[in-house]
Amino acid sequence: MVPSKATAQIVGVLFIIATAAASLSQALLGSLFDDANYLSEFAADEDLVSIGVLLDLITAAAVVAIGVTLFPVLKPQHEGVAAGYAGFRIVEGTVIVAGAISSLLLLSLSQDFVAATAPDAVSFDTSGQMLLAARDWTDVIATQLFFGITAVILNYSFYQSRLVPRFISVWGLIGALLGVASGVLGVFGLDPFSTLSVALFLPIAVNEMVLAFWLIIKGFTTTPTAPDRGPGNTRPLAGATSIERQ
Amino acid sequence: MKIDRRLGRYLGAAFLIVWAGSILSGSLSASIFADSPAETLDNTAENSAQMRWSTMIELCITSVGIVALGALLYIAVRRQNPLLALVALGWFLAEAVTLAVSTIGAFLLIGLSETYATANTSSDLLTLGEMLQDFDRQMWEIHLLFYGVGALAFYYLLYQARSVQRWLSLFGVAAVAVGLFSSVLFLAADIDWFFFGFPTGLFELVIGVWVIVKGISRAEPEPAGAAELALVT
Repeated sequence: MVPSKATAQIVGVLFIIATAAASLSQALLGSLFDDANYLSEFAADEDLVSIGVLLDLITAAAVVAIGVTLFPVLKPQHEGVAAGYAGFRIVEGTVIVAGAISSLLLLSLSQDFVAATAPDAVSFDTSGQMLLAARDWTDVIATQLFFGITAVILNYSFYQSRLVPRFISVWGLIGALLGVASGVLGVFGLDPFSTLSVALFLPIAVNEMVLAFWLIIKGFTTTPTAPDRGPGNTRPLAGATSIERQ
Repeated sequence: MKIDRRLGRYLGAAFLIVWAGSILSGSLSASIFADSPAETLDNTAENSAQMRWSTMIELCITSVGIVALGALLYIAVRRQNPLLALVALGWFLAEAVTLAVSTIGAFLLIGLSETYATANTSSDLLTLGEMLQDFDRQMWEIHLLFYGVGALAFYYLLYQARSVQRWLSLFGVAAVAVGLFSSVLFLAADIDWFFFGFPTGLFELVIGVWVIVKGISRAEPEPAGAAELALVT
């Protein structure tokens, strides 16, 4: 059975929601995280922090929804890959939620700092730096490493199945591998916002938006290859033929 | 029932990858973690690259491998009991999430150790170091629980479905039961989990090699339209 255009459009919209929410959250909270006076600024911008956390939760929900929605799409090709992809997106979404919790804990710490009559600045700063670092690590783990791994799985599956044009899936595969590389470098200390890290991550970020709009406008290809029962098996699905007759 | 050698190779590889990843990351971090938080922080600062490798292996190999293993076990046994297989997969995902989140604690410990090495006052840093070490250990204990419950369900389904030799799946059930019991004890008392976890590790190694060599038996899928045909007739 060929996946419906409605499913493709839902997936495309979810990709856009996930990217937009994550980008907006970073735009709202990024300056707070880098502010030397973050301990007082978080409490002063409580509404901003709340909106940023909400956007993180929307990102997490969208990421999980992408995995669940694509499961029946990828399943005919290879059920294990489909289940693995959905599983990884669930793990990714959960780590994003952990990052959001770090932001909320920072807000609580900031509120305690502002409310204290004679705050021990060193002690508060030590805890605050810990929470900032936790937020950074959830970004590296979820947004770079796990996102890269899920993109490799998805684009490999799309390449095998031809559910999207091969230029998109090949681009996505290469971009995803570069994204994983940026995540690995992030583990060893590369700043996620350094020029190198951004350069490594940019191809997959742009590819995901191209894929999203392709799915919304064109949907899935109506003549995908048959499920992968062995090497070289590329006969069209029987369902594709019946759609063409209609 | 037919022998699925392809699934057997993938499943066996997943078992061996998770097994190797766990052993490797544990071996790399074993010499770093100590009873005293001060000693742990000193060891971490002196061996930060080793700690990063250990944590990255735990994240990118073990945690990722657990998701893959859960997905492949789900494929292998879901026809036996779809609901139980899905629940077991859920437990494996919870295990992977717990491990992934635990690595945040390890990464934070690396950063903290670098600050500790150059700090003039260290009592707060020692408290934080102890907290992070406890966090890492507790998340590890919790992941064992999740693994135990999920694996018990999966290996029971392997036994029911006769996907592998029954003695092998029974060995798995018994090994995981011992491991699960010790995981509960581990939460309450400081026991030598390695002794209790050894049978589980041995089982994963044996089944990994077994299914690569022998394949895995799966029930034949129903032909398309069989359900509709049954309704009509």
